[in-house]
Amino acid sequence: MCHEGLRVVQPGMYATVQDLGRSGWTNIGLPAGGAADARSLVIGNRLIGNTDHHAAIEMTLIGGEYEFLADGDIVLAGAPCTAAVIHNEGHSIAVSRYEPIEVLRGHHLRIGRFDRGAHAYLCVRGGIAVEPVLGSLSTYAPAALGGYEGRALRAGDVLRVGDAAPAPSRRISSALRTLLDRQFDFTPLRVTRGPHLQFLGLAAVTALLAGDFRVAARSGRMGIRLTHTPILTPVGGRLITEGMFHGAIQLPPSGEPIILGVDHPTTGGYPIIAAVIRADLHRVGQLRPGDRVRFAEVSFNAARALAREEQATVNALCPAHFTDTKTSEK
Amino acid sequence: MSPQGPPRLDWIADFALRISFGEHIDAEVSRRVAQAYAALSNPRTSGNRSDIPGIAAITPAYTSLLLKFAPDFDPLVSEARVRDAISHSDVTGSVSTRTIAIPVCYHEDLAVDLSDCAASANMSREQFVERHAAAEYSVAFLGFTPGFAYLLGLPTELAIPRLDSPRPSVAPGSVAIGAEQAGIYPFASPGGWRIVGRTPLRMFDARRNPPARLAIGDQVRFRPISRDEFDQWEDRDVP
Repeated sequence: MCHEGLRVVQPGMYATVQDLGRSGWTNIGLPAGGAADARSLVIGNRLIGNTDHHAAIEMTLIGGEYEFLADGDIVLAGAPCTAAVIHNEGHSIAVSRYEPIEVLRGHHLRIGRFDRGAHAYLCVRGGIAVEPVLGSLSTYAPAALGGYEGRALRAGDVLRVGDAAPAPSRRISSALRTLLDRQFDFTPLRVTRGPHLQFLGLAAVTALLAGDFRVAARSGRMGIRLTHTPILTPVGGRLITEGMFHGAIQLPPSGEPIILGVDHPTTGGYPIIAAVIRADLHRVGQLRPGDRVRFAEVSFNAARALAREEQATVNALCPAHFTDTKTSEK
Repeated sequence: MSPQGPPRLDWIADFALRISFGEHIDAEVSRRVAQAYAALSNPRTSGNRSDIPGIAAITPAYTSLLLKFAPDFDPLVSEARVRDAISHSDVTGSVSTRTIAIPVCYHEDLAVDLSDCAASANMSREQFVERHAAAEYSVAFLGFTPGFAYLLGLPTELAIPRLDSPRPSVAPGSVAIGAEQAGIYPFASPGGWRIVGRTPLRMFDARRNPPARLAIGDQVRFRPISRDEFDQWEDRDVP
């Protein structure tokens, strides 16, 4: 079923095993989690012949180094980065993002500091194999659950890789590359209006939409903290705790918004000023400290049309493999 | 006849629908949330995936449910079917009738804020523990972190404001009070609630089914146990 596939030589800044997450457990306080940038993971998996739900290594800001313990096919997806495969004889070959390559037992993959973006994915043909927990292989570190021993990867960890994948690797088209490169353009994140405007006041939304924000250092999979131009809130404080979701923009009394990430607390008491639309959630997963962020408002129906269009474009440029029966659930 | 009006439905994101049952935290609103949750969720499947197509997750809270939809859904159809399902939920939504006893050790080594809480309530430690353990609680919802149950039913004289700044780490199993709210920390986590006791029970374990010991609608009682009993329990519960 699976074999020892690779050894972590050095895990970069923070690396975890992630798939598309476990939806359907928010009733017990567990968020869906999964890849911070699910779109990049899906495309990486499709290029390497995997199903959308195969797990990969999600790396953060710095890639690290991995040694292959068996021959296999890999591809890098997500954040632009410099990477090379070092052969046993010592010479190295540059690895380009989204171009599947063959590696041999004993080869090392070295990935540097990312040029842009926060998360890159090391997808391996057959997928990273760990025990599923509540229907997913994803690491949810706050509860030490899923992934590799419920935690971030450490030097010396040996990861197993699945033997089977439904399809061969494929080449990326230039149209798909153009789409993927746009992910890192500086354009406003599109949002819909939040539910607590009676509490926050319309002026707060106006300020959000006019604001020019920076991503703060204390950001991660739970949420992206924004600083630079605090919004003045007419009323401070909390509301009655209610359900939260990926992409919700909370406005705490400090006036500095937080965009909730994939590992967000399932409930919270800060008012929601706006919500990033589904079609732009993959961009939230690529925000890194220091990035500029602006917002633009769209209607709910426009947001839904954009989500359908986004999904159709990705599927047209890089179709899923047919054996993938779970795709429609996420 | 219910004195409340119909629940209010609001889209709060392109894929998220909030159903609100009231403006204030109280047992009756909480009961309506639990009934609607039971009517929308499918007990035959694991997790909370609903029978209504497109619902990917349901998050109950004090006065509301949050429904998250999968990418391909029709908002008008979904909204109509949700309205239909919850309109009969006082009949169809079967809410938990379990009463679960949670053993709690109130020993001063574990109940680090008990003295402060008792002083604030003008009680002795023993009186505070007696009131705390005599009350009947109900699980309003689970949130914040996996398995953290928000409990209704804290006697008003035991309410005490949260700590000014949260502790960096609260021990797993800590039984806590945050203003009028009561709860149990399942994991070591930062927390600003006052710690009045600790249970030796593992409140969340992903290898169990269901993973969380408590569920929405459960009745909960705290049963005081000695320090010895706590220590022995811990030995049994940790593999």
